[in-house]
Amino acid sequence: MWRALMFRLRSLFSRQIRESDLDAELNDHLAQQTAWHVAHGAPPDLARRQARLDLGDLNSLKEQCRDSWTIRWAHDAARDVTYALRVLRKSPGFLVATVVSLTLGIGANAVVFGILNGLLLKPLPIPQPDRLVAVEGIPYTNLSFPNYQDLRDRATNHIALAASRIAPMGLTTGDSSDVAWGYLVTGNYFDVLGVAAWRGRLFTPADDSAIGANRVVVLGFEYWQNHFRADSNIVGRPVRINTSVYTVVGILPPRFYGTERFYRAQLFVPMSMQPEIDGTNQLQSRAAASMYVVGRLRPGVTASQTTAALNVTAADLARLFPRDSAGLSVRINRVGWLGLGTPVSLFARGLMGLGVLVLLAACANLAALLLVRATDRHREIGIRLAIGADRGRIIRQLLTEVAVLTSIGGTCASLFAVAGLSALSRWRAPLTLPIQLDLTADWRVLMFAAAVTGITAALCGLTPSRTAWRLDLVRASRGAEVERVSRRWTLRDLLVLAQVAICCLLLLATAVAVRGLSRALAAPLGMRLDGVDVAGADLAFAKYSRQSGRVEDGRVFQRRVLDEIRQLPGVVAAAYSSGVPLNIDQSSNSVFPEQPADAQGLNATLYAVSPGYFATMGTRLVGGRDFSWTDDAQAPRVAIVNQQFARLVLGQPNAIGSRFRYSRNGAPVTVIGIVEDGKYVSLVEDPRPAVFQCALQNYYSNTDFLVRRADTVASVAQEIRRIIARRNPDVPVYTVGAAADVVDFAFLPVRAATIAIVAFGALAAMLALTGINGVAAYSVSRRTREIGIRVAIGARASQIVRTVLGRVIVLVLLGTTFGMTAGVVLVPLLRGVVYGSASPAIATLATAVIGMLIVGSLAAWVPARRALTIEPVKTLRMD
Amino acid sequence: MPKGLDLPQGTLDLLILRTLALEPLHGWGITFRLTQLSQGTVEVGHGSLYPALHRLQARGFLRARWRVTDNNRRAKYYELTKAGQKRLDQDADAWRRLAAAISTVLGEA
Repeated sequence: MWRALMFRLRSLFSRQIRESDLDAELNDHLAQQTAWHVAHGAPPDLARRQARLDLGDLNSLKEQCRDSWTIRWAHDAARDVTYALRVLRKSPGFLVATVVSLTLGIGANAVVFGILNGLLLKPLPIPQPDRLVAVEGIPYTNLSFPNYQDLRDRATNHIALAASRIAPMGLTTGDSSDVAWGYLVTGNYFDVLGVAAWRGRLFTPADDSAIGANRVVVLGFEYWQNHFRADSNIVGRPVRINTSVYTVVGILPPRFYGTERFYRAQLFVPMSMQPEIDGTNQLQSRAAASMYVVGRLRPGVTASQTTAALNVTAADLARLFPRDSAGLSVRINRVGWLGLGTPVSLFARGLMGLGVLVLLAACANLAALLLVRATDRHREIGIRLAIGADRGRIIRQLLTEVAVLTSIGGTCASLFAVAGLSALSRWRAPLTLPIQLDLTADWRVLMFAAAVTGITAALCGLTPSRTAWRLDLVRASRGAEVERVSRRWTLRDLLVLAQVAICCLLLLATAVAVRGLSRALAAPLGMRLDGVDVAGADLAFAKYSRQSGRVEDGRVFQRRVLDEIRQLPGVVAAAYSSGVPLNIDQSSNSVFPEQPADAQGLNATLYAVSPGYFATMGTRLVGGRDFSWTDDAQAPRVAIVNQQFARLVLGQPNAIGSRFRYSRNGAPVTVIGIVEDGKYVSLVEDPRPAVFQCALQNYYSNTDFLVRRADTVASVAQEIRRIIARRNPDVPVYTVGAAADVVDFAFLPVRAATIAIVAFGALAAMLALTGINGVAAYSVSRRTREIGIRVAIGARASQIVRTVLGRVIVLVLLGTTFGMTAGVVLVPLLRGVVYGSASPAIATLATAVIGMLIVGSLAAWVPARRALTIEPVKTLRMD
Repeated sequence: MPKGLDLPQGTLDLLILRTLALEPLHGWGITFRLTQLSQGTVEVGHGSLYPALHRLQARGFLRARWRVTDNNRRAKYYELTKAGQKRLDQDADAWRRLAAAISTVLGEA
């Protein structure tokens, strides 16, 4: 076998040698055969002739011998590729147009697939990631710790469960403290994941022993490298977390950050320390759904069996604890998105849908260009057929050309995708939470690009082959095909039509998205953030928490810091709050009107703010009064609500003096003021109720200090940080900067969606431009002679344009109609990501139509000019 | 050249291998020897011999080298390789069984 292969390979490279070898061999044969005939009495010249006749057709004989030398098809393919490259080099315009189309079409898809891959498909760096699932509660994703424990203990045959909770911690080294983002995890967490320690040990169930008894910490590899300078003696040494001393017991392996795809945990602390770390005890209340539960399916058990088993337990819990767990049920989901899996995968799929549209447009474009080219080459192909070429051979040649084109395009697209994805991966959300996605291209992305390239090649290769197959030899060699102007719609027309329709659809989506974004940016936020600085801190890190019994100390700390901030030069107003609207962490609560007693609870966004908050944030007080420093814990409970709250919960716009409760049987709270509506969770939300508690009556350790400064003064955020550090070095400040930057994250989904849609719209427009242009140019070049004659007999410019571009214009108008119709049906699907996309306004539709017509006119402009400048005399001399 | 039987499809390779099993030969020598061995019954078209030889060489059953002949000319001699010998044994065996089967069928018919 080896020898056979060597023989073939050698002959591939030493063709010359083998040729002369064959000649010599056959000459020798002829000589011997001639001698044989002579020996049998033939005269020499007749003998030589007879010997030749015995051998038959020498050329076909040689060809048969050659066939066995080489891997024939490889040889042919190499020749076809060389020929294709030569032909393509001769028409650089065509080459550039097709390669650009392909790069954009395939590249856009590869990038989108890379995003999908990074968000959903790439396995987490954990052993057997496909057996790892998230167990989510319904309706709340998280489960309470007691419920988790019961589920865990009763489903051991199906699944090993572990619980975790994302938690920021204040890590003090020397005299400064930093926020470290970590996980609180149950003792079996690392066992369930199957992760082993890189140094030291990880947690064991013994670390769950008793609440508050296990002050140990495991460091993430990267955090250990960056924060502890890769000091390998750190294991066994103490560190200070939230003012307590913890012992480092181990270091995790590189690239392990926990089970979230977007969150890179820096350190891990046992769940039994949760009350101390968070400042509130979440471990004993069945009502506090705050655990994120993951599990590893036992071998041979399916997800649906497990769901069924877990739900038996959940139903029992719901029956046993109707007050806290009524209606509890669970579902199994993919790990990695903290219950956000559904919107994330919707976003990724939406992008993929747009990508496929662009790819279809690119395919249509390429197919149309190839078709034009194949028609152009009718004559060449006709001649080749006439001199005896095999149709199969010619089709193979045409297919090779398509393959070469798509390979070039696919390679460019892959490079484009790899570069684009690594740029996207480097992007870090402007947040305190360490959000980072790994979107870098891996083999899946490259395989995807290759597969898409292959499919494109197959789809586009069909059209020219079909032309070659059906070619009428006689007409082609006369060039007759060329002059025929068909009334019928050709495949080419349909391709352009499809392209225009797709382009139009994407242009409409673009118009809707851009309009939505500009409206979202201009939408009233219910606050004026220019000139507002913020410094956020969690006082629980310094044990100013309910858990530690130091609420009063916390209030005093807040008040002292605020007083000091007010002394800063240039400060117009200052306040503190449990949170800033549109920041990433929004809390909400049920609220119940006082009357009627059985009224349904409604969900309202909740803030606890100090007096002066509304003045600082620039939120307009519509009625009533602001809090004052006398509305403290001893005074009657009061609240300020927004207008939507007044309308929806209290049933009257002017609700000052009305009362409501935070739970059905809770103490009533009196409304003392009403403020304008704003945006609280996202920019695309409908107006929602919001309630502002008085911070003096409701303590939250989460504290954002807010300052409105005079225009002439530069940012004072760093001053605030210094004030806080001076007062208590154990309070880490994690949000520092302009309030506008802090809420910037709220704009991210709208921005990301808009950028994506606009990019796709631009791609589609470019593709349509080249596509229409190609067909119009083709139409002009095919009919040059006809136009010449028309001009010669006195046709007017408008008539010429109508003759040549009539079909193109009809196609553009029809395609626009189809695209718009599809758009009106499909665009509402964008609702949820794009602001105000429920039904596109007339103006938006008009924008898209005008955009499409501009693209169409631009595309037809150059060919039309060419048609008008045709000189009759020259055209008549053609051919 | 005496008129003989046409060879059934695929048997040329077998005959070539068999001929070369005796001694290395050049192309013309093979046709000559084949006619001799079959006592003039089998006629090998000269035109089909060379493609067959090249095919067999490409598949590793034959090896070729240029040698000086008895009457002092250079000619390309083919000889059997180990793989060729094995192939010959298999094909000859298969042929014998087929031939026996066919003659049985014909005998009973």
